[in-house]
Amino acid sequence: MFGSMPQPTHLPCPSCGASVARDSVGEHLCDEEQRSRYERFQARVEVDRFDAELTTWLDTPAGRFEVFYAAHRRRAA
Amino acid sequence: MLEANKAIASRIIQELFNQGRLEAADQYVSPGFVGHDTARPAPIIGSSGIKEYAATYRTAFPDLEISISEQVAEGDRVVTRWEARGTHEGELFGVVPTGKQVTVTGITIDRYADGLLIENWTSWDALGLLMQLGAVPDLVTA
Repeated sequence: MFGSMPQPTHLPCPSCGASVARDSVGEHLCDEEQRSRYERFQARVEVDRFDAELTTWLDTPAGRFEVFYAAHRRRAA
Repeated sequence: MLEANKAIASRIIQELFNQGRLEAADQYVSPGFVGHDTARPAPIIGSSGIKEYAATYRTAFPDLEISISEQVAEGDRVVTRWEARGTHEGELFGVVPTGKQVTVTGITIDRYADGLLIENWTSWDALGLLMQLGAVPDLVTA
């Protein structure tokens, strides 16, 4: 009864995060939508940081000029 | 009575844990409820305690789905063998969200009186959960 190491019956797939039964790991095929969702979740901290830095930069003189210039070019196109 | 108690046990899982209707505890759980969980150092006290308990796991796993694998009733007790699945999107036991889907199993023994849950004992694979989240090394493949 106590002769074996404890182990979970399932493990998350390292590529898509799906819960896969340990005895069917070799048969698992990642669902693309699930993989995409998992990768977005992994990147959320980086994305949030980028959004915060971009928001801060857009409020600087350089950022404001870029917003103005982008709008100017769009009107001229 | 046996079937009625089994039905309440099922409703608690379905409404409180799967649907997140925390107010269901007021209908099915005694104010004097005491819950014992092997993964918790202190007992869960009262219907407010079980609401907080359910909320903790639903915050960590917003898509939490517990399915009943087997249920046996005798006297005032109901034994439920269950399997829980969910995606880790909120902090649990200090582990930051990983986005991983997990599956754990457990057994809960409930005791009922007058149609209300008054005490239960739950034993579940908390170590397996931590291994799936990567918080503890998988001792087999590590």
